[in-house]
Amino acid sequence: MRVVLAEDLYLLRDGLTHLLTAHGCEVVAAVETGPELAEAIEEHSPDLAIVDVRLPPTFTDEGLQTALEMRRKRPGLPVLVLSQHVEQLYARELLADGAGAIGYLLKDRVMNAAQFVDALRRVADGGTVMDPDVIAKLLAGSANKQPLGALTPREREVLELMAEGCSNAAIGQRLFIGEGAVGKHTAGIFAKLGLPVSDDTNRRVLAVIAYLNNAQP
Amino acid sequence: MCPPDREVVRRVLTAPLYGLVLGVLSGVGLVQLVVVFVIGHAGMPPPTVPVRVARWLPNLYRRLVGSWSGTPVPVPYRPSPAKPEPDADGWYRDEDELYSTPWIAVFKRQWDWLTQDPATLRDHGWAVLNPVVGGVPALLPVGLIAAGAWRPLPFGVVLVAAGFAVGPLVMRWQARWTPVLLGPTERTGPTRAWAWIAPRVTAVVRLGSVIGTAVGGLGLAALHVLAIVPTLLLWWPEVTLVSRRVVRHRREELARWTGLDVPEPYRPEPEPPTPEADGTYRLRRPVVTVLYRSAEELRQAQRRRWTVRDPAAWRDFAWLLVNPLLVVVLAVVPLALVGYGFVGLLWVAAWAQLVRLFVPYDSWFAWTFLADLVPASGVVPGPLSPLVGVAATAAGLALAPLALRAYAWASRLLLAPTKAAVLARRVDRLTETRADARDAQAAELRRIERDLHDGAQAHWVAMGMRLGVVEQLIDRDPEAAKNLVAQAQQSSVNALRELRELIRGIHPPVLAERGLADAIRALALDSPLDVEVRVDLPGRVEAPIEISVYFSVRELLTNAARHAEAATARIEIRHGEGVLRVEVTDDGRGGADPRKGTGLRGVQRRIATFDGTLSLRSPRGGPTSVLLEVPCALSLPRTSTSSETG
Repeated sequence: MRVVLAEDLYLLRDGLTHLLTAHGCEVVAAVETGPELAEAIEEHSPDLAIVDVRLPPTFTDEGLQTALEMRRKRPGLPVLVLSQHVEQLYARELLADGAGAIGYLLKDRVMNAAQFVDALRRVADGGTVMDPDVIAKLLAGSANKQPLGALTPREREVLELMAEGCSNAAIGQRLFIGEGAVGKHTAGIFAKLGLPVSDDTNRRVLAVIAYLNNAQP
Repeated sequence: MCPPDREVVRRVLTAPLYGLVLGVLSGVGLVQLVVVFVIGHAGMPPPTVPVRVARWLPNLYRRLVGSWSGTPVPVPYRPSPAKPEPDADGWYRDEDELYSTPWIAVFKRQWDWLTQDPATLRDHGWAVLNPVVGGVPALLPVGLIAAGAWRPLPFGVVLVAAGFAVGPLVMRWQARWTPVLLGPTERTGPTRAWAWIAPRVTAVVRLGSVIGTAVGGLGLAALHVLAIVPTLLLWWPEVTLVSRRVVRHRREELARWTGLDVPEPYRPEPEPPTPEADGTYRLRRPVVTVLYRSAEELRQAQRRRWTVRDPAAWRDFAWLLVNPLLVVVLAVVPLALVGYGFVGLLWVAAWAQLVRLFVPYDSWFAWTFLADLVPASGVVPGPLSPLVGVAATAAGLALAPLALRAYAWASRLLLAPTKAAVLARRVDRLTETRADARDAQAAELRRIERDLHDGAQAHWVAMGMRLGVVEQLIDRDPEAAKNLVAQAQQSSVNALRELRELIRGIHPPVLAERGLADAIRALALDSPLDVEVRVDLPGRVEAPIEISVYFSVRELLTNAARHAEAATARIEIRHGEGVLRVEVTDDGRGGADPRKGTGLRGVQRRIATFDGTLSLRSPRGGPTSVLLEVPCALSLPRTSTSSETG
């Protein structure tokens, strides 16, 4: 897998390069700034771009903007956005085009290398990976908001894992329940959110996200 | 005789009597108007009561004229307002204010009802005009008959006959004239002449009330002197506060009447005393801090500083003394012109025509003292004197608004704060907000220090210790070492999480990355409420203001969710005329009070550093609306106009 990496902190850039190489990825370019990122993507057409939200020269959301810009130019370009903090606002923007192949994770997740690389692969394969914190925030603020407030605690757990891109089998393993039970919960969730039932994990996440983007009045 | 003839006879015979009754009632109407005016301005009972009660007379007049002339005069009054109903909690609501007793709501409704009904003003106009227009003709038959009865026979009989002859005509005139002012009117807008006269009449009335306060003010000034000398200053603060209320009222009235801005010059009311750690009470002043043993002593000292040590108190006092002089110079001339011209030359002259029927009298110069005083005025031919009256009235009316404005302007010299006072207050305010900002900053640093010390630092210490143990265990017991590495990793995750929270509390990253509008949108998404955000901000404001506004909005949203039990909220942000306005409205239960919670107060302090203000509307039962206004400029034009929900 050919990867372009944009991260302005040298230590992190270096560490990520090592980690990716160790897990069999080829880092074709490791750059520091937004414009360099755009150039590297144009030049290498990578299988995945890993992008820090905050990049020079503006040190605002340069990385995020560049990633969004590149995905407008190349629909479906797999991008994994890393940040020191996660915002529902950014998650919505990343997911808005509905093309999949998008990930949004806290930088902390790098520490669990196996899960991190797993997430990379899912994004590169066109999947969607949301940081558990995004979903937790979403659910934490939803007590008064219909219809998310109507979910049972178990359904919330399942939704969180669905948004992380887990399949029914993976959700069952993580929650120590059978796959059939997971299916029942997902059906309940989709019914409550008024979404079409689907087994394809990517489409499921997109459905959830579409709901996040549009359903609230 | 046939029936119609009997009817004619009845009319001829009754008309002088009816005329007498109506003439007397006309006079009563005028006297009553004066009484209502005086009572209405005395303050007790409220002015609505005499105005309402006084309606008995026009009503009686309507009924009498209606039944005697055969054409009823309809009653024009609007229906009286309904009694206010208490809400579920037993409060009486008037717009945004709640009262425990119905009186204030009743009074306001009655006041609106009376003042907005054109019939009220028309009644008063009738009371002024009717003695001349209706009363004098009404008395003519009885006057002629009485005059005839005293004269020698042939001439007397002619007069008596004339009296009876004009009777029915007079009654017909009553039937025509009375509905003009006492009947309902079709017209809603004033005529051009009235549009000119009405505001000037108002100005004359206001000048009259200015004279009233000038006299009352002298009484207050005397009270000041009494408070200073015999009670040895003991009562002075109280007297100052009483006179402050009077002067404040005048200040507000002048501003309302003339549009001149007359700001309040007083120092702010002192905060209630709070004891120090050692139980004493301290009054901090620029150079010395004074120590008091009890709260009451400090309260007294603060009260003295607040009242009599305030230069504005002395300027109020000076104004009370100077005011009568101003009034004499400015108010007396237009009032005298209108008074003498209208009452003396026009109004009385009309009456004098009637008097002349009985006694020889130079009726044109009704008030002869002007002729006595200024003999030259005698050159005006008598029949022209009403014209002089009209001219004098018009001159007085024309002068009145100018005089009122001049009076307001002159009063403002003493009633508005001096430049020094304005500056002093500004310095006070800056000192206060600077102290607040300094305290807030210190508290903030302390919080950061504590969070780092107890949070991230502790986690890293734990992590270091575990790694140290791992170093020893790694060869002997790899399994345990692995376990410890996992724990160390968890420590670092925890440390990172706490750092993230800390950073969010110092300066939210989204604010740095996106600016105020998107930071507020992110806030709305994270809020447990359904929040609608509307931003119209064609640029960015200074970073310190962005941070303050961000944390203020966060606090307000938290309040709405936690205390007001709201379900939805709306945030509107816009910038115009050099002011950033942020309005946060929720659908909660209202009743917010900055004095009760620290939240609103903290917001107030936070934005006060930037000369910002907080206005709160939170009636019990909701909704609550908080408006933050911060003067600031916009920079870096970058359009961001949209509406989003979260």
